[in-house]
Amino acid sequence: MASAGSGDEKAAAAAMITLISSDNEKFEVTEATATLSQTIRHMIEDGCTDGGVPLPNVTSKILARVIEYCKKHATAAAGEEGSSSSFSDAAFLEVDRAFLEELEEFDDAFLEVDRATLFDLILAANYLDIKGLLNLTCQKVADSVKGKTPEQIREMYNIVNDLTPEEEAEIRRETQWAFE
Amino acid sequence: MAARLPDELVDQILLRLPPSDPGSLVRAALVCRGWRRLLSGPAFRRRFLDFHRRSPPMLGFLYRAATGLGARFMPTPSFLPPFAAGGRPARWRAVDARHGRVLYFDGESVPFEPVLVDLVVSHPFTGEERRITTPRNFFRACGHLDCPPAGPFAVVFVGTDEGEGRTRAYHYSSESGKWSKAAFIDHPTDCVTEGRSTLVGNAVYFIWDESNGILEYDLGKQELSMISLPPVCEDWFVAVMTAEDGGLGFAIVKDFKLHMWSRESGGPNGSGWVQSRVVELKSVAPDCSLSTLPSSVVPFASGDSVIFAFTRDVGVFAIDVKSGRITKVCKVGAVYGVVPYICFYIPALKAANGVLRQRKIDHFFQKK
Repeated sequence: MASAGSGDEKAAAAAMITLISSDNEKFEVTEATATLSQTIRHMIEDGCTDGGVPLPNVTSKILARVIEYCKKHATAAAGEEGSSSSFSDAAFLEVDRAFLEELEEFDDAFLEVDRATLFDLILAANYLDIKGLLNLTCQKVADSVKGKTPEQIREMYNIVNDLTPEEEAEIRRETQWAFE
Repeated sequence: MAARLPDELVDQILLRLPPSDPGSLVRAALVCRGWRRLLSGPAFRRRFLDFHRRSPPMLGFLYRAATGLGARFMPTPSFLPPFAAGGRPARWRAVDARHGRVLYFDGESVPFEPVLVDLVVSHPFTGEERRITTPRNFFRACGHLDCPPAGPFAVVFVGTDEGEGRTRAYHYSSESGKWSKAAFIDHPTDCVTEGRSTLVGNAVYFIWDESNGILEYDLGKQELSMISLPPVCEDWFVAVMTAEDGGLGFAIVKDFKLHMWSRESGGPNGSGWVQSRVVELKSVAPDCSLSTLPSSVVPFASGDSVIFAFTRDVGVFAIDVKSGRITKVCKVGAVYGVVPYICFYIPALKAANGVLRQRKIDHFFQKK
């Protein structure tokens, strides 16, 4: 946050981590940003980040997006710690709400990607163990499935229907209410 | 997708399907064998419940359209299992609902006469139904259903005999099939009202009609007592509820704001009330014309955000007090006796022999 002291900035600057994508691109990020990933956090704790962290499962295109997410959410996490929110204090509530709204807007915009990218983000979030991002991306897919017919879901995600017509008919007959 | 995402991640996606739309689980199970296999296992069922534990869905609510008409069930738009449309006798009035069970008063309310009611506890999913004769007739009465997710249940029945100025409470256990002895409190000028009660800790709280207070029934001691409310509540409709900290709370709608209070147990005066939150209704509901703001508030806790459904002439609304979002949940105007129906409904999906079956009685779970 803007109110963070210059001492903090120095400390943060001192702890930069280099992430290396599968296509060998290097990304410099602060420790605060990198440690949103539990996988990287453990590597830092084990002291094996000198010379950069190779991420052979993540392309530079996806890693750039993941870092964008982590930067924003690392700031949010720092902001939350800074404010001692209390329900009885309307001013703090307003600040919190504005902050959360901004974060929500960021997340919404962040998810405006094609399906292939969304799946890559899910895979990356899982590999890097970033709970927030995994939740966000999986929820996005779940939301896209909501209210859709099985046919529409298959079409959206190129899924082959391997149920026999008899199986399908039986399911539909027994759970008719779900299709009305 | 199956090729791109490993099962564990497809599973993560399916876990996030909304519990308020049980049909989405059925439809997802029809997408392909892989999805069906994931969805039909008991492990998925457990994890789905676990994942959504903090926010059990409101599948709909029970209400009366007008005096003399029976309780109806209004499902949330996406939830229409067979029982939703089922008719209930016209004399039944829904009083409470918990973990899938509904408590009805069966009887007519005649002015100036003691209420002659039977209680009916019914479970729409399982068909369970039990009729309970009340220990006494009252002019004004209220009931509270208390049940763990499965197994036995209890009912607290409270009524006021206006002639005597005495309010009595009885406690019924489904295991023994018997009512407790009456606990009573003398309060000549007051009586209980047929409104929502709430269970907090080991006590049930009812609304006192006239005076500025809440009636407390201690389930352990089987005693009635009266808790005063702050002067600000005088003359306003009070909705008793569980506060955000898990203790006793209440809400009132006043000056187009939702005021929420909670009871401080360790405060300077032992059990003082503190205002915990104020939600501006004007700003969250710009389309609500001022003259028609809610006359009654029906609180219910659904997960992290306490939500209020309230009725007014033009429908039922739900307010998410955290986001301040307000949604219209029902177009039916002038509804009475709204009882939210909150529980999990997970269609039983069977994968045996490659065939998916739904048992007649769907497997369902609820949580406290």
